[in-house]
Amino acid sequence: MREQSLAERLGGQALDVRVGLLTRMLTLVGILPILMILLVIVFGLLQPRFLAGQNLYTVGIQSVYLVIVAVAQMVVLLTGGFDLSVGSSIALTSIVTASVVASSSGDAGGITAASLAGIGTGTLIGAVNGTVIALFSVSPFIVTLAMLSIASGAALILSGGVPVFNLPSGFAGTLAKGTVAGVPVPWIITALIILLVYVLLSWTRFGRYLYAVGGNPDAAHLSGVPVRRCLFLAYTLAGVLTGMAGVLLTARVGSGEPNLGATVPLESIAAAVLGGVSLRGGEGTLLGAVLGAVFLVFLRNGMDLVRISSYVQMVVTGVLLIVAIVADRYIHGR
Amino acid sequence: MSTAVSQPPLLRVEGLTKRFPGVLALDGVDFELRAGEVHAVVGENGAGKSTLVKVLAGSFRPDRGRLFLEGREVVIRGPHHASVLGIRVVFQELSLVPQLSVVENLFLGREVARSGLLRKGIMLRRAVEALSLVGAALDPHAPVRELRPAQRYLVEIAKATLADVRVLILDEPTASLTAEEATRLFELCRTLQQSGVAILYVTHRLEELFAVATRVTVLRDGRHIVTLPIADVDQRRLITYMTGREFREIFPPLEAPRPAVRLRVRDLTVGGRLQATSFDLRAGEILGVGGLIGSGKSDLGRALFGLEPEAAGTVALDGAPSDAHRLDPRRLLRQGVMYFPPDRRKEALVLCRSVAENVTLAALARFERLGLLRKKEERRAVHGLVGRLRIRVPGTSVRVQVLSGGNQQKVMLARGLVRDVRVFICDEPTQGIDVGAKVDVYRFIRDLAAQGASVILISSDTAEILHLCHRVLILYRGIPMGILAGEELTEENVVRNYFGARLAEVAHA
Repeated sequence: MREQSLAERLGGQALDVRVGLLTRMLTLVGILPILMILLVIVFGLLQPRFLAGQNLYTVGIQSVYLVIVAVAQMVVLLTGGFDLSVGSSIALTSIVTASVVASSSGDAGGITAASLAGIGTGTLIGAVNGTVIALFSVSPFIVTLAMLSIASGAALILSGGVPVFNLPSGFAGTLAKGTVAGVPVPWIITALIILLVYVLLSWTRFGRYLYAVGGNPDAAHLSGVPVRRCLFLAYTLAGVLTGMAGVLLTARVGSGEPNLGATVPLESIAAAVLGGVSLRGGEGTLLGAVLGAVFLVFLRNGMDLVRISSYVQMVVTGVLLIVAIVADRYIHGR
Repeated sequence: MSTAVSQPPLLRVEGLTKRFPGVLALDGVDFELRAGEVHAVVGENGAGKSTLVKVLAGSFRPDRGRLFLEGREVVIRGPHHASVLGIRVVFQELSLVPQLSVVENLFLGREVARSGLLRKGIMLRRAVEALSLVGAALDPHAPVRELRPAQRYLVEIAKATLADVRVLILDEPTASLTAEEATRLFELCRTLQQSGVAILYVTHRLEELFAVATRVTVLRDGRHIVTLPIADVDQRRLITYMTGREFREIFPPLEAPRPAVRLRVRDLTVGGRLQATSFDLRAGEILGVGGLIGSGKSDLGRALFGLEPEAAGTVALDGAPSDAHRLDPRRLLRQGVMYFPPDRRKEALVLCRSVAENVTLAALARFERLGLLRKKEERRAVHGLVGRLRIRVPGTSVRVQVLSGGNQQKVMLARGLVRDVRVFICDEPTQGIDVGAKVDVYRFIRDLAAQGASVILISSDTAEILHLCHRVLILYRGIPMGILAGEELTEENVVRNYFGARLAEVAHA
């Protein structure tokens, strides 16, 4: 009450003056830049190789998969939901893609068909999530948790529990190791995805609607926003992007893996939230989600280099997620 | 009252000053509170009411000024210390735990126990006493979440009376009460007053002062303007003190409506909450809809915007009739109807987004070319509206969250100017905003009508029902009591109809 009245009398500037320097800095940039600097300093000192050009390049390539899923995750986070099924969606996508490409000769047609099948799988999963969440107004938590189980089970059934090996070399050669004018194909695809989502979020009605639906669905409805359609499209878009990540990841590991992407749901949520995307919906930037993902991969790489076990790394990821959520509360208030 | 004057004041402050960076929230305020009085403090948002309350409650330390309790100077060290001194605040935002029972809440933090075991019998007995004192007929074991807002408020007051309270501060107490509940609260104030408690009554609503207060103090811009016995002022003078503006400026005469009927409503019903209601709304007309809480006036507004699936009847817009239950917000928006809900924060605004995004949310298509938004044009349009509605913001990219209630309200209303809206349905457009912002909202509504738009003004503010509307439809428990216009539109008639006394002849549009 008091703050509002002050804000009014000063035309809204009083608040900015009154909050502390730390809060202002956090509000402005979030916690990510601070963590980023710490990361560079700590691992740079512990292991000089960490900042070498070769390592940075490796991290750059490794990041793209999490970057894409974090972007997907961000889209649904904006609507105030989240998607726990991104991991098993990647697994199922991987099996489908690998099966299709394995049955082809590995020529351009086969690779295209496999990619489309993979993306289609992701899209279908997203569309089912979106339909149930939008039509029946059910909690995204339960729906996507159920979908996690469904897609995971489907991946195991299709593959019989064993990886799909013997993929034609052209597949990985194009989608994982290929370059166009010296630029790795995964980078190009990721850049295109980021550009597309940027335009969608910042320059279209749909993007505005996503923020509004997440910020206050009642207000959106009153303003004539097709709330259900937006929710459906958000989950479907997340499915498309996850499918793309699944195809690229399959090319990178070189086989169809029924257990691929198990850690992705947590990591993608952590990445987005670290990047300042609010868990309550309505707030967050694409750049934040992308940098959050790069940060997590960078951190994992650093920990690998100084031989911190993957078990410890799991603990660290979990702790970071909690830190990010607390920071989110702290920055954006109650 | 003459006896009260001879007594020394229970609480006195001298030269109270509180500065926040960039603003003087309290500027040398002198003020005294006598035992056994209900002392109202009124003023616009930013006048210093809340700061004064928070200083007395121990939440803020004043920068300068002295505070005397029964003639002895005291320094309030914090909220707990304030309550030890006998000063208790009942805030608007209630401090009850919904899951706990009434008794558990009443004794929360000061449970009666012996050897570590709760003495439930004693607590129950005292709870019943306190509840009956405040006139709350409640099951003390009922969980607070099952209580209505009014009952919760009474529990809050009961909680205050359980401690040794000498100064009771009520902050906007009637915000969530119906008229009947408010009347009961006023009686409670008088009871407490007779027992020697001093009540500091902070409010926006001027009409209730006259029912409850013995004296009134007006603050403006952190300064003490005047303190007067309530018998010596009327509403118009209070408004003048608070705003520095004359009543005529606030409610100038209206222009006459135009002949064309814009909206024709026939036999509109909403479940059991609104019975067959019919009226015509002309171009350039402001139709007031009055009634108490539960009268169905909000249901009427929601139904007209297609938000009530149970609605039935016919609504014809510009002569094209449709079934009331087929109305749909998206189509109505396209046809030029817009609805402004009473709870702007919950229903209308996306608080975490910017002023600009909130203003244009309902009209984004207008700023679209080839599927992309033209943000420059959007910004220009929003800037124009910010100026026109006198929305005080540092920029259009700040979040709506940080704005005052009045400015938030204007952001919501600005939506109606971004697209072609010809029927405005406004439910409580001035609820919880200060007088200055009210004046701006009144001007906004008057201007709309003058330009030929039609306005349905749903309101529980008698002043705006009387002075801002061409005609007034009054509802009582879902029953349309008739439409008042011209000479019939008097305060007495309006209030009588609020309580269900039907007019001799039911006016039909």
